[in-house]
Amino acid sequence: MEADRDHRDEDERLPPGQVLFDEIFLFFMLSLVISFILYNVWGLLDLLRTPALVP
Amino acid sequence: MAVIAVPWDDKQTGAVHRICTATGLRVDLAAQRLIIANAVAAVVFLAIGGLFALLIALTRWQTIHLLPAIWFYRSITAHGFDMLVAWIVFFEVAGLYFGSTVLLNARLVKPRLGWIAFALMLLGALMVNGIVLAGKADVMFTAYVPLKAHPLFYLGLVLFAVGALIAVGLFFATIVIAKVERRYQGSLPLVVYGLVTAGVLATYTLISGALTFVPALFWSLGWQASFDPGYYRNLFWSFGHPAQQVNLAAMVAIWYSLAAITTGASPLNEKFSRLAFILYLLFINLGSVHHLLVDPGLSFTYKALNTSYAMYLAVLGSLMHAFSIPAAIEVSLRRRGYTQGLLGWLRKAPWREPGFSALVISMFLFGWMGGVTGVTIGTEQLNMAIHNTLRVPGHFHATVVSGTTLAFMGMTYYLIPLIFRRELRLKRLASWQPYVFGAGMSLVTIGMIASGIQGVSRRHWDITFTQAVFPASIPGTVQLTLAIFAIGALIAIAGGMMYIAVVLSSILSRRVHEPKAATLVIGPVDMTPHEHDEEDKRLQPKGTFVLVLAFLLFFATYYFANWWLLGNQSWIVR
Repeated sequence: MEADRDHRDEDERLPPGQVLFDEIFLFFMLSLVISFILYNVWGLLDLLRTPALVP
Repeated sequence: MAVIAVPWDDKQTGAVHRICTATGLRVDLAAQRLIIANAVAAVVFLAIGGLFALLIALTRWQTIHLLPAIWFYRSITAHGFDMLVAWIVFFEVAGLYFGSTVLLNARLVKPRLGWIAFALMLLGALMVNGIVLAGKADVMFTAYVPLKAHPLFYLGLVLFAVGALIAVGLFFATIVIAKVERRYQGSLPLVVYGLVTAGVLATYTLISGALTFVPALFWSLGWQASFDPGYYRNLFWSFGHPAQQVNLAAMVAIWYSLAAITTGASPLNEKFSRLAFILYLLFINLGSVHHLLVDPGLSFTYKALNTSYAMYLAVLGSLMHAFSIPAAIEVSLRRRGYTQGLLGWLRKAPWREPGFSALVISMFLFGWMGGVTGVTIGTEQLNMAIHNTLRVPGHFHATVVSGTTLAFMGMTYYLIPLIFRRELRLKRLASWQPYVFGAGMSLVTIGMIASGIQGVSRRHWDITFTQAVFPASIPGTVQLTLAIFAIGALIAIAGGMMYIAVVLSSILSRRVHEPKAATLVIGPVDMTPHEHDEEDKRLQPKGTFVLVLAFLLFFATYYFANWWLLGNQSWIVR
């Protein structure tokens, strides 16, 4: 119990910037979302909007 | 000394570990076996890829022009896969297991999954090599549609990607369980943070790989009528280029490790370094658009925003590391009394220690050659003159080979005593190896870039285009620049053989060795993290500041020289 409390106390003392940087799964999601939307989805939509060459 | 195998505190897990005699770190034996297996596989594929590199270099050297066209393309295909995918990813998986267990004092969760991942990757890599050598997949690394390979080529790539994805999942699971089991307190160590960055980038890369090669497999099998080349290129480059960003993040993490091991350096400001990794996470994958800058159908906004705005934020991350790591080394060496002048610390640095020389040469070649040329290639207007010339391989041989491969080679020397528990043999050879490899790769890069500036195509076997309808305006001086490239390649391959000789002679030794220090050639280094006293003027990294200014000057000169060249040449789109 005491160890739990010490652990929580230590986490509570961390500066907000460090707490944010420690949110690795938040950055995981942001990285995937930004990459898929700005690179893949936007690029594929550009291609979809390109009219096909009709011989 | 016998193995010190200690049951883990929690008997339910069944994990067993030993204590490293040099570092005091706990090494999970299940993780250790997987690290060894993946590292050995990596070195084997490096050797195979190196053999193809030799054949390609001797063909590019116009005086020799060794291979017939078909074997040139076949060798390029195998070389690209073995070097850019197999060697690098196997080594990175070893690094991920090392970071998530040894550096976090944790156990590897579900080691059996790790072996399944390893088997899938190995099977996939062997299938790709086998089908390429059988002559059924002469499509080069990019395998651009409508070039069609045998289905086993795509199946091999998919199996490899799935295996690697399982390994990355295991890495994240191990980190989560380590936190739950309180194996470490506070934030993740910076090196592990860098590996997390690599793991996140790898997840995107490998999902993209599956999205690219599964439809390609169906198309190759005839189950899918066609595969639009535009869609393929979009999907492929969300695999092909981010794969190299995984290398970047892993390499930077290794740079921080090597700096700590060989000089006792600790980061000057952890927030600064972590922010640089976050910039990679958010923006670096967008730079992949630079492969598509000459593609039709894509809007200017899409190209410019991704390559000339978002990518620069990731480049900022690299510039932050490029200051942070040498500055940390300088402060550490100044603290030991090497305070003379601006660069006295650099003269007194441990240049015989292979990890240190590998670190410095890797950083120098990666930044000054790879980084500068990369930003230039990623500029839309300049790309018109550079695209599909030998300048592009010149860039990525500076980043992936001179940078990543050399950093991984340097790190291997420390894994041999710490993880393989064998004494490093041929230490003198190991001390020289980074210099030989780095010198060779410098010539390779310079030769490729100089040839590319003169218009040599990056892929074509016959650079003179003998039977082409239009004459190729390739000047005779490319004979010289291609010879420089090939001679550099021979020197680099000699450096690669030195590396393999050191590794094999060490790991094949039967005698178990428990190291007393993490360093190999120099005496033990105090790796205790220091609080940085910003007021102490003797410890301020003034030399690094000057080096960084010199780098920025070189960067600006090269970049604007390319604009000048662009305005002074006829506009031929290659």
